[in-house]
Amino acid sequence: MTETLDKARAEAAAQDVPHEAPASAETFGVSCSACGGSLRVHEGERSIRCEYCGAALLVTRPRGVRGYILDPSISEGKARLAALKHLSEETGGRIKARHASIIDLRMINVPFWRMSGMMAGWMSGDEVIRYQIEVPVPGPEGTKMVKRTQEEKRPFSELTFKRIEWSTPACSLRDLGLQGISLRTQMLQWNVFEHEMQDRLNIALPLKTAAQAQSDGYSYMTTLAAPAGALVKASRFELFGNRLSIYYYPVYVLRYRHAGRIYSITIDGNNGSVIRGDVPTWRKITARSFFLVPAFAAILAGIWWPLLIIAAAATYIYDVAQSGTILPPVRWARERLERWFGGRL
Amino acid sequence: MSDGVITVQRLQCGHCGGELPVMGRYVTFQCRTCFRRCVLTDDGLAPISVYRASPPEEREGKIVYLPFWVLTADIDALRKKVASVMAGLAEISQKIATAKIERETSAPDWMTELGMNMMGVSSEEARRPAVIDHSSLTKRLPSRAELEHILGRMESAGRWHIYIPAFWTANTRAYLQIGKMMTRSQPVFHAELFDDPDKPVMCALGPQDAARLVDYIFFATLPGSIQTCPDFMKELSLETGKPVLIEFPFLESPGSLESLVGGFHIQSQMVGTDSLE
Repeated sequence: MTETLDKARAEAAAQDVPHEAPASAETFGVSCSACGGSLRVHEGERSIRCEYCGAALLVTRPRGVRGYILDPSISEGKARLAALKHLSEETGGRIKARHASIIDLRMINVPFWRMSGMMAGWMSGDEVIRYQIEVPVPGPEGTKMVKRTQEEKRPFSELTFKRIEWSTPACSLRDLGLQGISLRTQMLQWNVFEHEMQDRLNIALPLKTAAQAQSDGYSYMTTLAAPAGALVKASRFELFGNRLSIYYYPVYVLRYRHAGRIYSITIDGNNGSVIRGDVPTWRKITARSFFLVPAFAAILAGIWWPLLIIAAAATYIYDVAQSGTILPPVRWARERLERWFGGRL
Repeated sequence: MSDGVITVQRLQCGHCGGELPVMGRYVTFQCRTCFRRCVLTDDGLAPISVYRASPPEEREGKIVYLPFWVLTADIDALRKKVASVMAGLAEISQKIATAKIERETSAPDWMTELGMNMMGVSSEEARRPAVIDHSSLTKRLPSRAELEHILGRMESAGRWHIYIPAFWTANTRAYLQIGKMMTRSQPVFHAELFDDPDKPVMCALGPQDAARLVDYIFFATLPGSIQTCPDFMKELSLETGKPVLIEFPFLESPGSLESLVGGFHIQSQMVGTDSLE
């Protein structure tokens, strides 16, 4: 039975036209419409053969914004280890796992707008050309030749047809350092995003609209194709292939507390690298922090003692609001002093 | 957010229901049962006729056929478009120049006049007509004689085709270069319906994408003096007929390909290796 099936598959495949594999190693997952098998389609492929049932399949790309999602390649445990290693390295081994209490570790699928494919475009305007000339300048010691920068505008026109790759975070989670993620250099195995995933996955909502992203993308294309320093007066672009799509990329966000403050470290869910990490800074004890600041505070408190209580209460409320947890005042005072004076009490 | 979900469906002939061969990145298919051809468009598979141009003369060597979408430009519509754009731009330029003259020569109001008097500028001096640099005010327009020459050439040819390369290449610039060379040469050729089932058509570009490329290939054929008129060019667009897929013969020699109908040479590297087999 298996042999018959294999033979049928081989016969069907023999009918196919030999063709080069697409240049992109990036793939996305689909299910075979005949047998339901899980298949991977290379970017740019328009027809494929199912490796399970041998059916010839047409890849349909309907109009509209397409969505893709990437499964994390690393586990939560690995993300935690990477974060703690980063913490230890950045603090020179001063803060290790036992010194930092981990509050939570969450995997978030952050959205990115992406434009990739072939771009055809035309633009025209003025190209600013700067060059140096020598001009005679009369002076008390006779005429001198002085160099001056001359600016000249020349009309330019550029026709371009090239592959482009552009992506931008679709949400504004600045603290996560998402600008550091580049989708262009990575050959990834994406899955088609389905609306049901929103219920079971931790997905950040895109705040930037498709129209805004498209506008930003076209601005990028203009910058890419125009000569340096050119003033573009008119342009037209067409994007072929993938057009504008939304990609959900996995990141782990680890939050930890150290000395009463909360810090976060963002880990790339695909390759395990640290995208951005907050670590406690170790302040040096200077004359200012050791003597001048306490002396000034003591003078103020001596003049008007309620000031000391008000300042302490305000600082306590601020710290509680920042950390989101209520600490006993004695513990808070100890941790505050530790932070101020850079030591351990 | 994702309303354009990618799916797969059975690749079947729309006429007889037979299974079509898998073509990878290529969008043209030929049924092994009924030998009809179809092309993948934005709306799915659609029947298509493919033509093959025959070489004008017998030549020794290996001949490869490269597919092009050929679209016929509507020259009358283009002439009307050019005339309306030129008239519109000339009117805007005139308005700008007139507004500038009025502003420069009108009597200043009492506050401006007072300010000028305080600064030692006489009212007479202020009213003196300014020297206006019309070249800096008017829109940059192409020469009418040059446009007339181009339109005249298109009209005298009877038909003006735009050739959009449809083969696959990693060198994207090649699409513009080869499309420009073919369109400029406006080859005269004899084409016949091509339905040889043993020779697949390696077309990597759909008809809708070809239609979207028409303006850019047309722009590439225009002289630089016209291309650098932004206000004129951004309004310019070409109306064309339905795209027709035609394979054109190229003579292969080491490192280069000679177009047997266009009479120009291109580097072999400009064309994907699939197309040369």
